[in-house]
Amino acid sequence: MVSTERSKFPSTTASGFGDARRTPFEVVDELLVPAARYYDASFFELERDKLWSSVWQLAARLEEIPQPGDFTEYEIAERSYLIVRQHDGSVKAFENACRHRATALGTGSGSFHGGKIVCPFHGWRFELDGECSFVYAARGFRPDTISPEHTHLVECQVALRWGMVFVNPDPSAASFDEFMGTDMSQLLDEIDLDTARVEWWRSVRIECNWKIALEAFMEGYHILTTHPEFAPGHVDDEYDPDSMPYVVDAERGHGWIGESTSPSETMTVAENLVVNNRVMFPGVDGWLTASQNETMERLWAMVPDELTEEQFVEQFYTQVYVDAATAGVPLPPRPVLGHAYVFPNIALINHIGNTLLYRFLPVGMNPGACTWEIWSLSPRRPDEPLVRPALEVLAHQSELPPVYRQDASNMELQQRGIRSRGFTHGVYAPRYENMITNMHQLLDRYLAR
Amino acid sequence: MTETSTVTVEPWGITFDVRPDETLFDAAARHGWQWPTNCYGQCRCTVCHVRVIDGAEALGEPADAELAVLETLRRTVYQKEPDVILRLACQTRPHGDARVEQRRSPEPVRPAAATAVTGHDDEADSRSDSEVPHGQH
Repeated sequence: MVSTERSKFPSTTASGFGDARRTPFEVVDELLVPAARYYDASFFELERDKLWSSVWQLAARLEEIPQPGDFTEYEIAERSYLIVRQHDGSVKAFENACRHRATALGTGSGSFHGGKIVCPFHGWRFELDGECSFVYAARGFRPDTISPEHTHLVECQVALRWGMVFVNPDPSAASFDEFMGTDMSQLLDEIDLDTARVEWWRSVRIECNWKIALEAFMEGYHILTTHPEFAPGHVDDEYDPDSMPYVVDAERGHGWIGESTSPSETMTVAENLVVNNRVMFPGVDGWLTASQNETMERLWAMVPDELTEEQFVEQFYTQVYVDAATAGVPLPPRPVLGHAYVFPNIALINHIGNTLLYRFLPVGMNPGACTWEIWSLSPRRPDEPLVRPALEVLAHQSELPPVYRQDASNMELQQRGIRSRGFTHGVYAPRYENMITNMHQLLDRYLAR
Repeated sequence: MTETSTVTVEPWGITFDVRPDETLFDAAARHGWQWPTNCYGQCRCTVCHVRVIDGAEALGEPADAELAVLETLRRTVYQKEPDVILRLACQTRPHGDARVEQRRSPEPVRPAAATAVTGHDDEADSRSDSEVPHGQH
């Protein structure tokens, strides 16, 4: 209903975005974000119609479709897309609907054999490139209704970058490069995700709005309280949230955190490194490989008798790079990027060649539920073939590794409070939560189009 | 399981190799044969089914989905042949040599990889006339 009203407005500006003041529950003061954005059904519908239908989004990782004919389904906000590996190794994306009567042509993931996509309802056939090549008993149709414009699959824009398939269902949307911007593109280039392999891939349903889950990974202000094990014995300002340099791309919505300083007044740089890695390794089931973890512990045992703390830090990083090169999986030169947020719904953290990539997707048309997916990625040998990873669907967030469990627990608590009568808006710190407020500003610009 | 197998298709006398973890259906396509099918490898139509003459054990154990459609086929069509061994070419992944019978003749087509290189027009040419719907082309 809301979206119909919107279309009455000639709201497009020179930048392609409309006037944000025409959306419901708009952000008026950027530091006060209306609560209804996290539960209101009409706002959620607007996201379906104006955001998901026309934004570049991560649809799949490339190793999900290693061979020609392989497909995976990408489902979001009542719409389904088929991501299909072509004969020549390229990738195309289609709306997952037979042009006859809308039957979804593929479910989950699998392979289209013999180079044909066949509708399970009446047997219409499509080539991998979306061309309709067979209409069963075509003589029964009025000829002009089965011309290519009526029968070929509807294609989406596709961009392949960093081992990922990004799609945009809007044929008139700006290019992927323009969407990403050069800053974010360069930062992501440096972490070498093109040659990553999937260590594991898990998803879990969280009972909260997709943005609530996402926003848990857009600031480090929560660390002291949510994850106190990173700051043992610290009280209040003894753990300094100003240690993380947040950068945002105001035009595009993305954000990132560069190299942080030590947040602790009482721990040395070396102690902070060790505590951080000892928490993260089991805590997110990634971040360090087992051998990197062993290297750290072996060198740390040499402090202070054989190594100073400074020597320990230096030797740890040197050794990790030497070991990787020896094993034939050289790490990219130490990148600037520690954390990235890519509008609208992905985030990642990166550490000595290892990446934890997150995607947050709404569940059906329920504003109060989302799926949180995590890919644990590490460097792949150049000669290692792409292997289709198995998605492990966790039954409950309690099955997540412990640091993620702490995050997920807060997400659901936040959703429980979000509809409180007196909670009209959240209050955001420009110094620590600017990635979040920037995301909401950009979201409004999409919704106002 | 790293070596190719050899499968012979009777009564046509067609023989080709099958790579490890490749289905009979996909191996035929790789060798330029369009195996008879309606559903193209989705374990539904049973058009691709074979009677196994030799090497049943080399064809592995059918999964539940394949067993279900084979059971219907056996009940409706093969009632008088209680000992027949049936498999779907689109599901079985041979790990040893076998001889099978497929009543409909596989049709020669160009392998998929070739059509991608030679482009769209050639691909259209290689399809049989029956594939081109009325009202198009």
